[in-house]
Amino acid sequence: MTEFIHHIPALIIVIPLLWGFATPLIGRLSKKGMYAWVVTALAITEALTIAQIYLVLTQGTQVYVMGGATYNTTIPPDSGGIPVRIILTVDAFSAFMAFTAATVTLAGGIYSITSEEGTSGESMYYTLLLLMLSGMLGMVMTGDLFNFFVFLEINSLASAGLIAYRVGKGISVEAAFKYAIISSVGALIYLFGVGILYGEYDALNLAMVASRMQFTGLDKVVMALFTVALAMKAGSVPLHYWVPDAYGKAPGAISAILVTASQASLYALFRVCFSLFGLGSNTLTTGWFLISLGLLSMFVGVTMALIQTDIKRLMAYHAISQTGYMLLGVGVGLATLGTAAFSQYGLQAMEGGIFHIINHAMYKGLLFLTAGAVIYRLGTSDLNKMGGLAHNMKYTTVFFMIGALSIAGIPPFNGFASKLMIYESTYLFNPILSIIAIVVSVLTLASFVKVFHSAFMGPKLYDVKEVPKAMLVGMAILTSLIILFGLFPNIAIQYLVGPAAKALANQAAYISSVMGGA
Amino acid sequence: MVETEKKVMARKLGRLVRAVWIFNWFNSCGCTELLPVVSSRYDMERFGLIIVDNPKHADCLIITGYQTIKSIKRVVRIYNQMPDPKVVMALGSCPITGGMYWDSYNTIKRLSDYIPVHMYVPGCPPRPEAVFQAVGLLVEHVRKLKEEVSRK
Amino acid sequence: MMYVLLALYIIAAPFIVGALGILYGMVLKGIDRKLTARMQGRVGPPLRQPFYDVLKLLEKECIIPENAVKWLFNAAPLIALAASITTLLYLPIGPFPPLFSGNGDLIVILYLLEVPCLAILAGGFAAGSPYSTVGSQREMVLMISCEFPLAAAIIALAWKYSSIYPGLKAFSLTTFVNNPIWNNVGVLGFIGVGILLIVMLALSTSGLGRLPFDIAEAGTEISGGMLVEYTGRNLGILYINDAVRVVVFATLINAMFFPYKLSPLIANYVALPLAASLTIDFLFYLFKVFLIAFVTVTLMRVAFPRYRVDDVVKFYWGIAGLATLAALILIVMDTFFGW
Repeated sequence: MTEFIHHIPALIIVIPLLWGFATPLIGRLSKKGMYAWVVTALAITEALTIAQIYLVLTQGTQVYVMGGATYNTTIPPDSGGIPVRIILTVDAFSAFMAFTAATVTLAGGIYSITSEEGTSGESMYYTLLLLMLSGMLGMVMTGDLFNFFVFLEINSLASAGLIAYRVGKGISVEAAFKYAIISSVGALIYLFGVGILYGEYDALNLAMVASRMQFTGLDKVVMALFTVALAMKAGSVPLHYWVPDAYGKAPGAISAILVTASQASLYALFRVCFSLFGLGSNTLTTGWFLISLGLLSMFVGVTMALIQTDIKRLMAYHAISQTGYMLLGVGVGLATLGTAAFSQYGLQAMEGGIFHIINHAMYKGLLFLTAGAVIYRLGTSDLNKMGGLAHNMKYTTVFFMIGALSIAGIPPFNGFASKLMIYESTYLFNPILSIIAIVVSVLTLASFVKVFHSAFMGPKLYDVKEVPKAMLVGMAILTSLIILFGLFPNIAIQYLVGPAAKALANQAAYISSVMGGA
Repeated sequence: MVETEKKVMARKLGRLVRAVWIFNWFNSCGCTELLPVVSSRYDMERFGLIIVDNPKHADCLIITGYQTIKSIKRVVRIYNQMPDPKVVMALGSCPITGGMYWDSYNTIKRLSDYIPVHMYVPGCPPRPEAVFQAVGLLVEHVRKLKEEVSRK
Repeated sequence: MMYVLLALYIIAAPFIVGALGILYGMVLKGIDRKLTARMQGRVGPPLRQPFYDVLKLLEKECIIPENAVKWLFNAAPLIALAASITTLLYLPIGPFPPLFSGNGDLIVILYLLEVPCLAILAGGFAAGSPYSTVGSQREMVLMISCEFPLAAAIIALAWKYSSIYPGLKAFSLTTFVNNPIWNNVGVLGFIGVGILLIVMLALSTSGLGRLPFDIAEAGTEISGGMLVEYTGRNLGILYINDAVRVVVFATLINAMFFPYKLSPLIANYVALPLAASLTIDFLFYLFKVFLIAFVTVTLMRVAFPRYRVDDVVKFYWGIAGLATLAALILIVMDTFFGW
């Protein structure tokens, strides 16, 4: 049993991967069997991520050496002090991100059972879904720079395939093509940075490079390459142009899961800034860079969203806007790292930003799933053509209302909890930041009131039925977490977010968990 | 009426007369002397009467003056939109008997043919005090109804 | 015994505060109508008139339109009233500290102030009538415009407190009550806080939906705006909600800008037992709330005509926004230069 516990990090990545490849075979035998197969895989992964959180909280950072003599021989005795193999380093932040990704994919997977029913190539859909999950989990749990690139590519290719799933006169394919090109460019820029680091320090392991880091001019170039490439993948302004198309044209559940894929890139951005470069770099400048990206994303995202007429494109712009909140929170934390202000408000800002990651995944996922439900019944995603859906689709309306109230930050839902933490800490850094954040929050509310009115209110135009149960179950999973985190945010902060923020800020602990010793 | 119904009606009307809300349908020349009633000189708000702009919020519909064949259709629609309990007051001689337009080809002659009327206020146009006397009569009627009900 | 008393307190206190809000709100409404009438040269209704209005509304038939989404239409007034009373639980009532207080009081209040407007707005959409839809959209525009000055005012004051008293929780209203803002600023800060007070008074008027900013419920333009389809009991609950919100806004401004008590002044001359000083302070609080309500509701209603919706937006984003930013700069300069 103890042996099994040690292998959990590897199992979390490997189970979706292998089960995904077995899916088409089972799909040939029976459709229902395939659904059961996929949901079992997702449920097992979810359970393993929860177990991993428990492990990390009780036993500290988990390391797993792929192919090592034992699971934690990070530095083989005959290697001369270099961690040669691919090492999965799971600290509290990684476990947190893995839990987020697994939860949203579970909800999306259950949702897809009925939303993609009857389409051709369904077994391919589930294969790609499991591959995408495996890619995301690999991205957040690996401790190796090149391995991150590999998983990034797995994630991007699987996502591109899934975005283009409903070919629909080629519009989705164009969106997927755009996404694939921008992902490839971003990944190649990232790879170029990794190559420079390898050339300088002869190491690919993140902790190893961090311990050997000398902050030469070439390293500053690498930092620029990394931040730009990862910000591009995370979808922040001014590199956000792929987001409305990709999120807007993907099938319902995929948009929800793409949100967590972008957040995995955001994880990498934070990991690079905090654990790779850390205090030796000029954290004030880097912090302000992240804050500026955050402010731009918040404002541009929400103002562009106000004028959209397509329901999913509108929500995609809001995803950009909410990413800005995360960048703002963690950026303030980075800017105050190492100073006295960090313990006053910097840590709280980081906690707010990180809490916002999971909150955003929950309520944005829920909103995309409700938008998918509306499109499933009506066949159109144009707000001008919708109307009066609340008369028939009561559950969908209630889920949409909960999602919209959460994203606007209305108490007692979870959006308020993380936004409160962000406001309370960033105003001490600079009061203008909080003011802009509050104004963006009410503009978010405005655009969702617009969607609510256009799609759900008004006289009954269409005679539609409620969506099938599987879709409702998927939405209910996310709603239950929204309400839980909204009413009891202390649970989330104490067990999930607090340890994650502390682990992210603690570069020395990260390095020593791999390199061993001081 | 059954006893409890009368009690309920008495209670409802008792509460109604303390705060009668009038719908803003002032048309024709009969309403000319109604405007001082609304404004400072004869101030109707001191009795709790105010003007609302929506038949759904109103208790009292004052038909001031003549109604044409076109506008009586709208009057019936407005009357139907008002929630119970409601009161209709016919102001001026035109809704009562046809008034000045008794032989016109396109006005209606008797308002009570179309909607139930509870109070007739004669005059052409009626003086502002006449409106207050009408409200006073309504209050009297409700007081008598309440006495009758409480005696039983 | 103590636990029983504590349990009773926890259960009964919200009801008491809610009842206070409703009753005093209706009394303020009656005083407002009487004073408006006197200022317009009329006599005006008796002070008990709002109670008669509500009792009558509760007796009327409740008509629900066919096109309406029934569950949302009926739930909206209740949610609005519940949110208004909940806001009151976070505010200090006279000398008594707020029932719920925590870390970020003012931000919770900022968001809770939006919830009744949002609920009525949703009810307006749910009614399915074009008049109510237009009213709800105008209300949304009003809410967006008011947010920037309101956020900037609250953040400016909280920032000032955090720079003077780093140990205290800057957003908590207890800090505001124990350290009145006027004692802690120099000349520049005085001007800045004065500007913020004027902006907050204007924001109260629009938050309450009174003239000159009552475009969302404009009677003569859109037949009552968001309330157009509400009748009977629902309208009665909305009427009560309107009354409670006056108390909420007035208490908020009182707590932020004028948290002064009368009993210390009197205690200089006469020794006061605790009950007497609490009573005097409470009555003084009621008087201050009446004064603030008089300025924001009655004076505004009598003096100004109705703004158009685009003029409201220009006012809040333009004049009020710039004024708030100027006040923020003045407060920052006051902190750093200490004038």
